Amino acid sequence: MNSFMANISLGLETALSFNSLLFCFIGVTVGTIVGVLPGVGPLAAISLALPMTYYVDPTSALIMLAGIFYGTQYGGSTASILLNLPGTATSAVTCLDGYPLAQQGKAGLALFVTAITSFVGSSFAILLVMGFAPIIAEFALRFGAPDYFSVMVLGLVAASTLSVGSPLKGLAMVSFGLALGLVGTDVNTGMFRFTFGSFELSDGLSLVAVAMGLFGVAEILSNIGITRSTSLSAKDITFRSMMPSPDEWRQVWRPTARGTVVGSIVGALPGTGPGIASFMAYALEKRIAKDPSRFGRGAIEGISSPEAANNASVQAAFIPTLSFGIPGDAVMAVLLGAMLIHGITPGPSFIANEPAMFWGLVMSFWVGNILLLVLNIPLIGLWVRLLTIPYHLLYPAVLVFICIGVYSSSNSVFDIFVVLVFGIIGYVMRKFEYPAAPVLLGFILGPLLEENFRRSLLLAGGDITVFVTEPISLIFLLMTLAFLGVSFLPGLKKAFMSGGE
Amino acid sequence: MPSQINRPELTAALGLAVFGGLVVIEGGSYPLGSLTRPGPGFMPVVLGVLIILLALAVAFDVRKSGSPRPDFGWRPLLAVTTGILAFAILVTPLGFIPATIALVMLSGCGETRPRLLQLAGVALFMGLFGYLMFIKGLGVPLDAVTGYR
Repeated sequence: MNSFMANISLGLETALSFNSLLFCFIGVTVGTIVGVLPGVGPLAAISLALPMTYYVDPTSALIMLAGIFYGTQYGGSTASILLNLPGTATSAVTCLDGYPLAQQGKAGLALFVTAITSFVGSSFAILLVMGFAPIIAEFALRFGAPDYFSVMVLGLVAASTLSVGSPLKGLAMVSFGLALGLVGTDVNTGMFRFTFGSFELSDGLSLVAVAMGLFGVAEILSNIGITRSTSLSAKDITFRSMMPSPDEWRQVWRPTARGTVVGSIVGALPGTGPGIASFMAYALEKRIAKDPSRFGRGAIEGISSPEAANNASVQAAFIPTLSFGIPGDAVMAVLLGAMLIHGITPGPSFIANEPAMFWGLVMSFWVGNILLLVLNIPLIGLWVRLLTIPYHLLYPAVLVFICIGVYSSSNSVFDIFVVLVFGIIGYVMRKFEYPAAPVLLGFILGPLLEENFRRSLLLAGGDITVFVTEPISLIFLLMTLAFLGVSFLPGLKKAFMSGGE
Repeated sequence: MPSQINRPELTAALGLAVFGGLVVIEGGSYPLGSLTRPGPGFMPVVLGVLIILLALAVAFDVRKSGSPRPDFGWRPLLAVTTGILAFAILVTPLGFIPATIALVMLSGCGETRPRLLQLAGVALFMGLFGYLMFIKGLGVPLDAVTGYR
């Protein structure tokens, strides 16, 4: 217990230093802006910020990148409520009841409720991270190469099958991403693979370029030309209109608690992110409601539970990321990439080796969430005005950021071409409903997966059964089979996602 | 259930299978190694085969799906592509500000009725803002305009 308190004070000391506070503030502010603006997602923002973090120490860099990620979850609901357009993919569910609430003149209330429930969801999940991440990491220290291989397979399969859409396409995209990860120098032999004589490819495809292409450019391509309602349902949000009545408070807290639990569980699983968490939380509320017909017409439960869930899952996603080194979703994967760039090896020894960084990061979550509460309640009017920037002027500006951001990450024009190629690939994928997140996850985990696979076989003397004879590895593989079963046997999937649309 | 073949979906899936085939061919040219000591070609071949199998499974799954032919926005695609290409080609010889102006003006034409004057404003603003933030602030080694940093 004493060491726990010591860790917390170490974390506070780090999180409250001037640099940490500054970068936390920058992170959550950028996160809120990106979250509010439809058509710019957290992935594009984090990849964009990645090159800028080369200039700061790794702790501040992580604090800022994490802040962008959870900050977007707060901002995302604003456009959902006011414009019926999700600011981020994870707040799509919030449109269903948030927009009707705004049409009834309760936009202020909806914005207040989503901010508060977001805070509650986050807070609970941060407590889980503080309690569980170190314990799980200690357990994971005993992992051998086969166990690592299998937990990565579990994460990849979970990420591709547990999303909305075709699980087969998801699996195909994970394999596509794994193949992209092969490009570059083979770590074991030093041989160039898939470089086709190009010097620029000898280090592999640039993570920033691939991520910004698949998410930044592709998103812009699919958003151009969509006519949007520019008329905001509420331009001025007064503080008074935001306050819920005692009756509304009573309606909010139970769904918030349920959403928090759903989000924490989903987020803590490797491979499952906030999108699926908010969807499941909404489905659950609809299922247990006395009068399900209220949903879609401005039910306050319909915004409080999913918003609590997506924030809880974002924070809980740090558990597998920081204790196993296995990212919960594509954004976490980019965060892992950032750690690697800064020379920090993610994995179970991270918490033990870098206590100041881990506890500093976790304590900065508290700072960041409190800042977000301020940014999203008293200052909400500022962000609402952002929504009046027309998209036809916004997207060329975002493209400039993408191009210069990619260039600055490697000082090479080559990466701008890579962005373009992946932008077009990402656009085609969207049109045919192939998910892009698994590609990125596969791309980042690919080299780690191959290394552990080859090491396992080497240590086991070529015995491929090592993956099922090692007990921990076997458990992960059985869980992987369970995920596959859930997604391919229709009856099971129905039971699992019951009550959905 | 429509019984017609969904050609666009099928083409996309088979295209992915072809990609898998290329990975197998290129990967197969590297040393495969053995199970005791897998070589650099081992994983590419395994992954390539996996991609082919999954792509064929997707193809089978979507062959008669009722999803409509996707509607590609050729205009945005063309505008954004030429814009990014222009930036990439111009940024080293001409400098960041001219490249930015080209990118904003070209990509801005992705909308059916581009407002050129407003776009010019965005182009100038982004040129100056980007110069101050990335070249002055972060020290990205680029010229603002040829010869001037």
